[in-house]
This record gives sequence, C-alpha cells and structure tokens, in this order.
Amino acid sequence: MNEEQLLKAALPPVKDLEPGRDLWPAMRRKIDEQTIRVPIWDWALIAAVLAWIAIFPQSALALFYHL
Amino acid sequence: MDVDDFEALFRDYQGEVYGWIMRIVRDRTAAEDLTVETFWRIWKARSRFDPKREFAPWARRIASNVALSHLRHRPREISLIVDVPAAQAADPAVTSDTLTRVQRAFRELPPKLQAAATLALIEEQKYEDIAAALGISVGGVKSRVFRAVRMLRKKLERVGIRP
Repeated sequence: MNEEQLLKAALPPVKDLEPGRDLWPAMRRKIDEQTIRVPIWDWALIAAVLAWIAIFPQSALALFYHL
Repeated sequence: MDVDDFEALFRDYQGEVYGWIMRIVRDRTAAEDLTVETFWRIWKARSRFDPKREFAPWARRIASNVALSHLRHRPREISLIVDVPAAQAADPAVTSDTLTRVQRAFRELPPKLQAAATLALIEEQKYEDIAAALGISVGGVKSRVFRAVRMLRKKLERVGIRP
C-alpha cells in the first residue's frame, strides 16, 4: 500500500454530511445576543463622560449643547 | 438582508456548509459549532456580499477559514478523535495500530496541508473547488497535496512504517 491508500484506510471519507440537529436556534441566539450587547468601549465612553461631569459639573452644559 | 431572509439562506445552505467543514475537521460536534460560526461571519459580512455572485463558493471560502483556524488551535490529543466510520484496511497485513499511527502522523501535518490533502485525496473533491475554497490556485492545491504526501511519508518512515 502506498501513502495515499494507507491514508484512505486510516481516514475513510466522511459519510455523515448533514448536521444531527437544527442549527438555526443556535444561530438565532447568537444574532439576538449581538443585537442587545453594548460593546465594552461604549460602556467605557459612558463611564468616562459621567466621571468628567462629576469632576467638572459645569462642563455638562457644554456637553449637552453639543449633543 | 433581514433575519427572515437570513434564516431562509441558512436553511438552504447549512447542510452544504456543515458537510464541507465536516470533511476538513472530521468531528461532528466541532463541525456543528463551526457551521454556526461560519454563518455568524456571513451575517456580519452580509453587506459585502455581491448578490450577483454565487453564495455557495463564498460560504465555502469562509467555512474553510473557520475550519483551518479550528485545526490550528485544537489540541493534538483531541485531533486524534476521528468521528467517522472505523478505519479499516483492505490489506489484512495492515494492522489497526498502523492505521492509528497513520492518523497520528497525518494530524501532525500543518493544517493547510492537512486540509488540502483531506479534501483532495480522501474526500476526492474537485481541485477547482478546493482551490476556490482555500483561496489559492489549482497549482497551489496540487503543491500542498504533494508536500503533505511527502511529509507524511517521512513521518511514517520515522515510526517504522514504509508504504
């Protein structure tokens, strides 16, 4: 037997080519999680803005003006 | 594309994507997870998809990247689990121990060579399809298969198997 024949004997072709379960629920969950998830950078930005307002309360007016 | 359109697309192609990944990773549970991961990447990149082009080759390309990444990161001991019908040699002189050593030697090959050799030699997929899925030329696929066989031969010789 050459390498290719040995390889085929050791690793036969895959026959089971259909998933054993419906994968859509897992996919849907992933999409929904992403939709409601707020990125960590957004939280960091909100925290930074709140901290800035706490330290310099007068800057809140300028911030709201720019919003 | 909204979620309903995407669900229809998912249901049309999940079998094909799963089958392609399964051929590369040969592990049912991993193939299911990687199919979801592939479609997740498709969902995130949906705005970049050109509807004039065929969906299946694009999905296979993403699926191949996901499967290759899995091969690169999975531990060696797990990679020995071959989730397919039991290996059996046509030649009675070839023992199950030999086949196990062949599996181990093959799983030690670089993932890119493993994937090309699996798809071409074991799964007998068209070289053009493999090339498109791996993002290389047909010549590149042939080169990877050649290198995989040569490397496998050396590894087998090192463990006392002379094909």
